[in-house]
Amino acid sequence: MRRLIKFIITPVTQTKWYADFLFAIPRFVCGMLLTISFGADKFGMPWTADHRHLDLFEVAYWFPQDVANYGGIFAMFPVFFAWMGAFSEAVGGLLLALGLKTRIASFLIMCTMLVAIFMQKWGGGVWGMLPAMGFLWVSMYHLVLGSGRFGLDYLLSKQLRTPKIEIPLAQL
Amino acid sequence: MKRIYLLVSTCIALLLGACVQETHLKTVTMRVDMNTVENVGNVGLRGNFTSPPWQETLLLEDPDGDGVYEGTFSQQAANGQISFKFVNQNEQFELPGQDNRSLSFEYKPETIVYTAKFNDPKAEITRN
Repeated sequence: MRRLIKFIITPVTQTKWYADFLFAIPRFVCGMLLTISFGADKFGMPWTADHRHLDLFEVAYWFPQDVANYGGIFAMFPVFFAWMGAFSEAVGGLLLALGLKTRIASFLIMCTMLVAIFMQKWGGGVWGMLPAMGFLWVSMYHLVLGSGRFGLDYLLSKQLRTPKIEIPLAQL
Repeated sequence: MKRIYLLVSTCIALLLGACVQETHLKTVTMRVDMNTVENVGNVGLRGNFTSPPWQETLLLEDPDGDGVYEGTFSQQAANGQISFKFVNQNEQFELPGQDNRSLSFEYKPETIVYTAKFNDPKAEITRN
């Protein structure tokens, strides 16, 4: 289990720190946009505006209705998919910004954006798809790269590194 | 194994809709006075609340022939705001070049009567 967690959170780091910094900028901006705006508008977070009347982790009433209109399996389990999509944006966006469990957050966001593009925005012109496509590209890169140097995963993965066993010379 | 049970329980809870915002019944009566308009027919309203938005006309009726067309619509909703305009002949929008009309909903059951004159942005809104 520890090995799996280590595999998931250990980031791919670039040879130069400023390359990691450059990758971290769109990750942070997209994550914050998702959690503060796109996610919090439809999912109850501590920073969701009061006038939306959303309790913590509660999805807006209209979102399952939208999801049900996609048809197929989405019409069978609209609440589940709506909740997962909203959670991915609101909580996944926060994790992405912090660089915490970056690959899991990226995977959730990637799935959500694919659904948004193909089930909701498709046919409405490229302009309407741009936000979802932007989030999709960022999540795809970070699914592979992880957080890079500028994220909490980098610090956690250092903690999880197997300690070196030092054998006293006297025992050799 | 416990984790699997927890995961399944969470999924079931989500499927049952335990985490969806509560909605309330909103009943809205729309009244529009068409007495100052010529060639009246197929009076209704179009707005951002239809699917697709602004493309579908919700028709109003004038059974007593007094020139005031009205219709009552009900829907479960939370809070929010709708934008709309009245139309004549199914597709002739009122208030050309002016802002859309808007109606806000509070987070409680509501019965609203919206009364206006065609092509006059003023409106009287009563809530119960």
